[in-house]
Amino acid sequence: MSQDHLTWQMTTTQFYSQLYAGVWQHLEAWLGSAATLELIVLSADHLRESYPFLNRLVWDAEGLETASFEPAITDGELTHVQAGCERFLQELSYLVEACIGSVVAQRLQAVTAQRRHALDPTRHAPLSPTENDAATTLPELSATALATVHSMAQQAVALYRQLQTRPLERDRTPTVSEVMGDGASASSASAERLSSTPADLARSESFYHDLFDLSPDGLIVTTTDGDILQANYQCAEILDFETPADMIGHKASEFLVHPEQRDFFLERISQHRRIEGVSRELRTHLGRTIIIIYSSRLIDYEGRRCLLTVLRDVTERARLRQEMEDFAYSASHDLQAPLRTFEGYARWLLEDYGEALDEVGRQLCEEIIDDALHMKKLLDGLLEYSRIGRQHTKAVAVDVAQVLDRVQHDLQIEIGDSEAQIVAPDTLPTVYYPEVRLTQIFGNLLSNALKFIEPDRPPEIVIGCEELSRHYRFTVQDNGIGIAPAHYSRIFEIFKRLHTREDYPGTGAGLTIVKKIVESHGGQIGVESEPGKGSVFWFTIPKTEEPP
Amino acid sequence: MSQLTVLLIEDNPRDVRLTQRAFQQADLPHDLRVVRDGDEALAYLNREGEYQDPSSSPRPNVILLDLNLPRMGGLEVLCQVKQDPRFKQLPIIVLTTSGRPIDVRQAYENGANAYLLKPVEFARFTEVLGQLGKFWLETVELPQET
Repeated sequence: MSQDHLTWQMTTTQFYSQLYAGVWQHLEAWLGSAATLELIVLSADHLRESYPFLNRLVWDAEGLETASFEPAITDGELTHVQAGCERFLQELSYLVEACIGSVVAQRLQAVTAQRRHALDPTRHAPLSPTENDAATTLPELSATALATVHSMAQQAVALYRQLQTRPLERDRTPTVSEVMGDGASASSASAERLSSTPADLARSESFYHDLFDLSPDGLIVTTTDGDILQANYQCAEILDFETPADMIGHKASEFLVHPEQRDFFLERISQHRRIEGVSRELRTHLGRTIIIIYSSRLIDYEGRRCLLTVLRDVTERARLRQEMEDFAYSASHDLQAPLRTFEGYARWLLEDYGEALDEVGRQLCEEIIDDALHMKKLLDGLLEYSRIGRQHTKAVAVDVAQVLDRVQHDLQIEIGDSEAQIVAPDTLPTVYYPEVRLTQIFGNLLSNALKFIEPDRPPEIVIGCEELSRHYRFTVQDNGIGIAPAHYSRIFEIFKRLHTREDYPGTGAGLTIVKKIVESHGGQIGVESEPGKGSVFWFTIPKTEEPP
Repeated sequence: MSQLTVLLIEDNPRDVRLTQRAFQQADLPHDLRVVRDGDEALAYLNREGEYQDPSSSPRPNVILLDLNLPRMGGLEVLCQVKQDPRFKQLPIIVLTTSGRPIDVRQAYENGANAYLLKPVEFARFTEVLGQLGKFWLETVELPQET
């Protein structure tokens, strides 16, 4: 009774300074004094706006300096000392859970409740025996293990402080609850493991499992020797197996139609650790030949260096592509045959029967010849257009300056006739591109710049190159007739022309081909122009360190 | 060799007419024989049927072969002629509109001596045939007929 009476007489500050002493004692035993002090400072700091007095309490390596409690409270704060002290305990508990883990946080709450009851049994109920056990039973740790735990707790709090500056990642606050639970054995847990709870890991495991199963592409894990360790159903299906399990025991290389390609694979993997978008012919175990594209990467798989490969069956696509190409060639072949007759016969008429015709008759023959040759150019343009992106042209290191030299050499007649001035930068980069395609791009843009000119204004063409973070941006600027903004997109459409063939000859396929080349090699193209003043055509080429 | 005897294997009569005219204009002593498909070509070379008389069906020095032929394709004609020991040495020049890479490759793989694209422009066609004729008639040495 007398003790009860005594506690009744306790002031709020006395109650909380004793409660805090108990909290300190326990936390310090679990986490070490450095981490505990950090957590307390953090908690007070979080509440400095609402309860500034918490910041004035003096804590040191021994715990709370009880004498600092009363003076810390200003007159204005007297009414919410209790509220502030409770919020502080909540905040501390939250921080312990966030940094260290829920196990320690729960213990802290149990210890606090136990302490409240001891200090003021009339107002605070005792703990149940199990709760009491949970609060008091601590794993037996050796001094070394304890030192490790303390140091990890300290790191966890430090990490929390860092992550706080990135609020979105707050959920990823590390915990060391496993360390407390498992004792010394868990102290070797890697820093990576610290960042996820077992629930997180289980979630991500099932996530990757789903991803593996649901992928529309084949996924396969092999050893660096090619032994198949794991594959998904899609991969089994591509290679004509019933289930992924049937693939175990096979080697990936045994499916290669050209086994020597394995050397290329190993060389690339050892140099770059990855391969992307390579096409291969495979023979399935049933003898069916298929075409795949694949990407591989060196990964850590159950503690070993393994290869993860993603493959896609493109057999059907390759067949369609071949069919399309055959169609384009035969169409062009069959459509050209009559043109030879038109041209040849019309010329024959002019040569052998020219005198029997009058001026109009001869003119008509000339026009047949003219149109036959124009149609030939249209067919060539169409054929060329259909070939880009389908026909594989190898990207090589190309010196842009050399390409420009050759293009200017090819256009020397047009340059001479129009008295054109062409200016290019002193230094131009080396890019990875199919050389013939880059020549086509500059050839088309320069010949347009030489063709679409105002009478009596010799062309002045400026070639520019700008290095962007991931691309080179090339420009071809002219002082020609220009293009109205309304027609910017039309000029890139096939056979669309803005002028009559009499005014400016051509088929209307050139820019369409250029656009298709640029875009099929990961770039963009556009134009800016002022009618009557000139145009700037620009296009980009991705920067790559090595052939893609 | 004073005169170039050419066997033209071509099914399109208008192409035949233009080829004849091109040879005439190319200023080249020539004897142009025409067959319209692979069967006729093999019959001609084997001196079968209407081609039995050597004087009216002389053995060619050069064969001009179109690839796009009815029934037996040009490539098959090429294979058969080149596999026959009697005709192995006969130069066969593919003359076609198709520039398809696989056609070009297969033609050379099967023994074609040259692969020419027929130009649409007649003047250019005459030029090409003139060069071709002069090359086989004047520039190269061919085995003597035995």
